[in-house]
Amino acid sequence: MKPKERIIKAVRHEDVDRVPVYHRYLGGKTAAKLEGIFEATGHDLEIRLGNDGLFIMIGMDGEWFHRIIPAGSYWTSEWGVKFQSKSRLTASLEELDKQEGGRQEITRTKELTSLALRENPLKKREDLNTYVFPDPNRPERMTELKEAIKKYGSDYAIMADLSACLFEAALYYLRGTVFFTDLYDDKDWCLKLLDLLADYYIELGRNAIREGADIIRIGDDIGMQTGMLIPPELWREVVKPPMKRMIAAYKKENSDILVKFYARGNYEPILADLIEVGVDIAEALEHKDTGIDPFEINKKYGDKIAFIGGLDAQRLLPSGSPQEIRNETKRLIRAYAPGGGYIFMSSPYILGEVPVENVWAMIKASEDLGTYPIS
Amino acid sequence: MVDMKELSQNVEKGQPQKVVELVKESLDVGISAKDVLAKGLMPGLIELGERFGRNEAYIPEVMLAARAMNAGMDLLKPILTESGVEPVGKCLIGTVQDDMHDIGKNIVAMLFEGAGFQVVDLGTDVSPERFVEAIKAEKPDIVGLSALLSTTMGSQEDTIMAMEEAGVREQTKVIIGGAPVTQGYAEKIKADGFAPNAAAAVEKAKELMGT
Repeated sequence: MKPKERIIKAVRHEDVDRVPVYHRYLGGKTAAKLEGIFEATGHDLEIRLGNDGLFIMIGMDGEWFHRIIPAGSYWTSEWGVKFQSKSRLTASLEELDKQEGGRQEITRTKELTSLALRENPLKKREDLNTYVFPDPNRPERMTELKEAIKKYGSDYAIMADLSACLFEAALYYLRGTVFFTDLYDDKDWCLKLLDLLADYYIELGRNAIREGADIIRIGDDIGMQTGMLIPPELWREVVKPPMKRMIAAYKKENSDILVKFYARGNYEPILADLIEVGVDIAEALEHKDTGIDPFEINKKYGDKIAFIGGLDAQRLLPSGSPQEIRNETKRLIRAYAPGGGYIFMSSPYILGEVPVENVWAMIKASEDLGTYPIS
Repeated sequence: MVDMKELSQNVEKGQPQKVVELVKESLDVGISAKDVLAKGLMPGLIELGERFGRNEAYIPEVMLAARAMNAGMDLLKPILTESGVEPVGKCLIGTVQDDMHDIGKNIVAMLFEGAGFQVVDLGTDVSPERFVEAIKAEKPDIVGLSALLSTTMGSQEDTIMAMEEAGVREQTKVIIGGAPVTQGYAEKIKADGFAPNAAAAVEKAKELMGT
């Protein structure tokens, strides 16, 4: 069974040989060590480690995520978002080049976590009248995706990651925390902003589908460990309609396209809505602080949607013991995988400071325990 | 007679116009500014803060309540200053370096103000050096360091270390707060205290000052 087929069939709850795996390595020391061991980098490394699919970031997050910005300096994104690299490193890039691991390792380990957002482009609500959205059809946006599809697309699932899409894009990138009160002060304005974002992402997503992406990832952080950031009914009023329009456009472009939704935390109050608007794969709800039971969640929703992830990347994977990681992998597979509809991963990625033996424990556990039939 | 409970409820519901109206009415009928603050405005924000802590309220609701309380405070502040009441103490507050989050910090600042403290708010992304300079200039009784992210809570420690180096650590009490912060972390970085929520921060500050 080809990896791509394994992913697609698993999402559709059809028979597969084993639980598919879809990890994403963020970089840093962990990736650097694995690169050394396998003599492979990037997607080649992910495939060597057993991935059945690959992520390609083409949305707003992708703009800055892997960008190298010298410490202390400012950079304004195409969306007009001003960032500052606030690394505690004081060395210049030229000096970093001379150090062990070179510029790449250091910038990936240190600067990824310290790029601070300094200015949102929509300082006043009126600024939206003159704000010019970037062009979703700029050919360069598809370059990385095209290359990945050409090289890996026949065998591996390719996920075009559009994050951050709607609420998160407005709150974090374009407007800032005042967007929370905008939702109460001027709901129409919020609807207009999210509609314009949906227009952008409809174009971008369609382009990715035309290039041959298998999965569209809509990332839109709306959850915290303890629950939703805004009341669910407000989400239904403001965020759900543009999201529904996006997903309908993707499925119209290609009825086989799979749509994945990502949000961190506990967003169970809107899970039924996501199923209703056509999400095929949902990020497993984080349950470390909320007491959410993956068995219960799967019982409630598992026949209507597939789940991905669930292994705690923040605490368990970097600081747990290999045995604890194995136990949790087992628990997740037992909760979500019977009857299909589960893709295993460490949600939402593997951080840069994870002991390599913990990565092994996770990979080994999903290999050992993820073979069907699963009891 | 204006009902203080109604005032609290309007703070809680985030109704600034109604709050302003009720504060004016209360003052007109002779209720003291101090009582309007303590019995009307504060309980509303504290109640909502507690509901938020129990996951029964959402972030925007807390922001709206804080805004409503602020609208009421704008009317009370000149009267409170004029009446020459001695502040309970002086609190210097800020979100630490690299962290731009200020919702929680602003609420803590407001509750300190409401409890009778003089508050100096340094804003967000405040470097250890700026904290040290401000401590030298303002001589606060309490320094509040806020951090929302696990990636920025290290700046709380950096700030305390910078205070030690500058020889100002012993002049003041340091309390820390924010989502990732715990009592254990507070002890580790040698803060004087930790508060799990905004109302507790004020209580902790009073306790540390021995008032």
